[in-house]
Amino acid sequence: MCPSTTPDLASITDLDLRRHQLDNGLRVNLQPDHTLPLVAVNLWYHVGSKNERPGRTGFAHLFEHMLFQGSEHVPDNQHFQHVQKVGGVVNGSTWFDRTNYYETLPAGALDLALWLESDRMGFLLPGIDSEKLENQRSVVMNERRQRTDNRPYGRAFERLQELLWPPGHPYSWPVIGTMEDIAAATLEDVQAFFSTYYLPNNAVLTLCGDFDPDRALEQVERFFGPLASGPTPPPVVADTLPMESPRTIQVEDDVQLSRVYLGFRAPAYGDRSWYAGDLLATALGSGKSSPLYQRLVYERQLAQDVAAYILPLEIATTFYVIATCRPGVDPKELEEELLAELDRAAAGKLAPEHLERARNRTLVSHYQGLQTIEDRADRLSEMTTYFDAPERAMEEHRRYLELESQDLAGFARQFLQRHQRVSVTYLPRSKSNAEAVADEGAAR
Amino acid sequence: MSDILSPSLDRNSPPALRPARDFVFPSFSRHRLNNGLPVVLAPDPTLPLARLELFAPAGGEHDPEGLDGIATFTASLLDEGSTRRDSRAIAHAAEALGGSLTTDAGWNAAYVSTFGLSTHLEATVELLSEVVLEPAFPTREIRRLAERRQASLLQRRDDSQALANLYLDRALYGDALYGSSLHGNEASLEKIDETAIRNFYQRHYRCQGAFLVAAGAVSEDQLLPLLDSSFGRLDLGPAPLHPTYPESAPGERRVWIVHRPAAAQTELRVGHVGVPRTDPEYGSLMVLNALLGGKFISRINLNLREVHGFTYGAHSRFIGRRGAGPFKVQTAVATEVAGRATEEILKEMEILRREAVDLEELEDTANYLTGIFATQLQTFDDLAARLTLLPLYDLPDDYFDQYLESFRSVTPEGLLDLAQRHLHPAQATILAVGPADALKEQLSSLGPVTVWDPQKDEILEDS
Repeated sequence: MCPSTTPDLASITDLDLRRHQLDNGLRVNLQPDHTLPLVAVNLWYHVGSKNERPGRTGFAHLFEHMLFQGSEHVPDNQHFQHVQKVGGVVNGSTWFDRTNYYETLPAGALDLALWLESDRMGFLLPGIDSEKLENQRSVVMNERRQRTDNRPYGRAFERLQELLWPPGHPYSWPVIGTMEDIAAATLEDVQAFFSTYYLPNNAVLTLCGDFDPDRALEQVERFFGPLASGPTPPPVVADTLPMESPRTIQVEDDVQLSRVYLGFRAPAYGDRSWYAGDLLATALGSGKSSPLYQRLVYERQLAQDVAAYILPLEIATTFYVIATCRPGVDPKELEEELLAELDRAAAGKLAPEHLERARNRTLVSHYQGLQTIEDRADRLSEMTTYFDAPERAMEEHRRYLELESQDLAGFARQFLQRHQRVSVTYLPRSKSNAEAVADEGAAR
Repeated sequence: MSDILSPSLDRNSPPALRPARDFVFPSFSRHRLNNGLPVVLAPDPTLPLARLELFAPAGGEHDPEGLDGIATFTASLLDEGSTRRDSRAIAHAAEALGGSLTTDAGWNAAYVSTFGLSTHLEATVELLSEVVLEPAFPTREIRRLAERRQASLLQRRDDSQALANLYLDRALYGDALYGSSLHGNEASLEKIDETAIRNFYQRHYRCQGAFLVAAGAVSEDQLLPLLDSSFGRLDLGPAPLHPTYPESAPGERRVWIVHRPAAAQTELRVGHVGVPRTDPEYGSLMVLNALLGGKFISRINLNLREVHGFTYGAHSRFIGRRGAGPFKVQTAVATEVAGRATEEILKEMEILRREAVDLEELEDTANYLTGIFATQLQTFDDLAARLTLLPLYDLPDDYFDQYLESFRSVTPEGLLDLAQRHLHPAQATILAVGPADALKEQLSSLGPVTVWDPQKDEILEDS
């Protein structure tokens, strides 16, 4: 078989996919797959940090934590208890545009999962109180410290977002929120957020795995059907003036090696040019044979590591290029090299082998991403939430295969110009600042 | 179904579990090439992809005295040039079709792992054998990688999580095996030269003790002849002798503090030497561990996170290796509660040594481990990772059936006995990475304190 053709994927793409919508607006995807006696239950709510208001950043995520604290018929920690005692895994996550909740369980526990998810969609408020809010507030503050404040370069992305989007823009603050705003959240906020966004008509439920779809749909109807819908949540809109000059900052931190973060605004997920950006990121930076690695890490030895990628966001998105300096390397020189590589891409000088590799890489990742029932369920929910098109989960790779080298160059020309960049450079803290740092740390 | 037709839905009690098929461990087969080299094969035609890996007895446990890190260093050089192709050409060959090539080493073994389209199996086998059997170890690449590695050692100094694990290993094992870093240190890297690398390679790669693992859309008929004409032609040297493995010898409880004055949080570990992966009770110990700190609703996580709000999460692990690997509880907490969090961890360990658990908690834990075993075996990569354990630890074909069985056979009395023999709160090392003064105040009542400066890797204070 020729390497650039699409390999046969019959066994996964032929899986039956059924769509349904309950009267209350809940959209349901069902994909039976009898390979293993397991079922994945995946629920997306179309609400994320972009729906927050300044002063309550991080709230969507704090709210996600509250959803594990009990609902009317499933008090306290019993959600976790019920899933883990039957041998299931359970979690949730919050992102700019959405919040998801998911379980993978033995097939016989499907009804149990539907009972659990429907109870917190319909009956959350009687289960929570201020004591639980205080507890999770503290957990989330520790999460912020662990993932952001106590990690080397941990605040880099927050700084990039602040530079990239104007104040008040829904992507200008981090999903985890600021400590100050996490501290400010109230029980009334929880109630209001729940009634505004946690509605069947603002959610997508996907089931993948070992079940009979007719019976499963009857059970979905039974548990979710009685839940009341509500007004369509207000849309989030944001207008942004184009970037006319670069915005750059330098940050001193407790790091040994300097690091350069570049960010560029790019079109929303789903746009044809978004796929060009994603493919370009793979072509430029994925693997040891990629031009960024070859030039900067291997040949010139300026960089310790290098990466490029684009985020899948709904309103507008960000294309990132990140590289860590070798000891003694001037970050300005490294930044210049990164920009020169982007210039070469814009000039159409990306070698055809890199496009070919990126296409194949994308193809293989696409298949890999459909291997487990939970990943597939998540993709189906995603494509339904953003595009009302679950079938796209199985065929998303086609959008990449139709792109040509001029599409990649066009993306770089349109969105990756030097003047369109924001850059955050992390520098090792100068010795004279060491004591001031100790004070700052103690004050936190 | 009658339950669907029932007019009212009672939300007060959980729906009963419905009967379901049992999980059956996926089929696999074990073979030997003409020269005796073992092969484990797990065919799964779902996707046109395949993983093919070689393992060699070339792990960190074989690092010679003073050359810490040579195992991982040698492994990382394998794909940086062969007698046929240079580094870039090898990377291109591995990645051009969307695949990948990884070379690295753990404590037990080194590995070279290829992944890609199964339609190009012949090329994949050729690449794997070229990288494993014909490495060139070019001087330029040795120098380049050494510099890169020195830089990553520097980066580690400001990473609380990495420091916590590094210093805990040192505290638990000292100069014995597992006490140093798999990636070596500044001094050992200086000594790793071309001769040392070539010697290490000759002794540890082309020998007994190596084996191959294949999974994905590959068949026996297709794969074995290809392997026989490459790896099967190799004249295998004798297996390297095993090193002296450390033994569990709990001493006095003590406190190590790694001083990071500006840390936003304290990275905390409580640990001691655990058991080898081959311990006959390893499966039962997984039950003990899950209940203590291995699942979300474990005692330690519920206590530290859900009751006290001290942390985002707390977990415990028995790390399986050929020798006795560490047992550790790990978490990250606000510095002002580091002492209280440590006491709660020690208390939970102590309770399991004192009081038998009730049957329900034990059964729930066994169900949890049984259930997640299947959820973690959905892909051929998952399966390849599991199957690797068989030749690595000389385990029988039905090992995983026994392993699953062992979850169910633990009794409350048996668990109490296990806890008394394998959890040692009174002899544990408590390790905290954060501001030394604040930590010393909270932790010094728990044992003698040693304070380290991670920038200079020196002891600042020893009580």
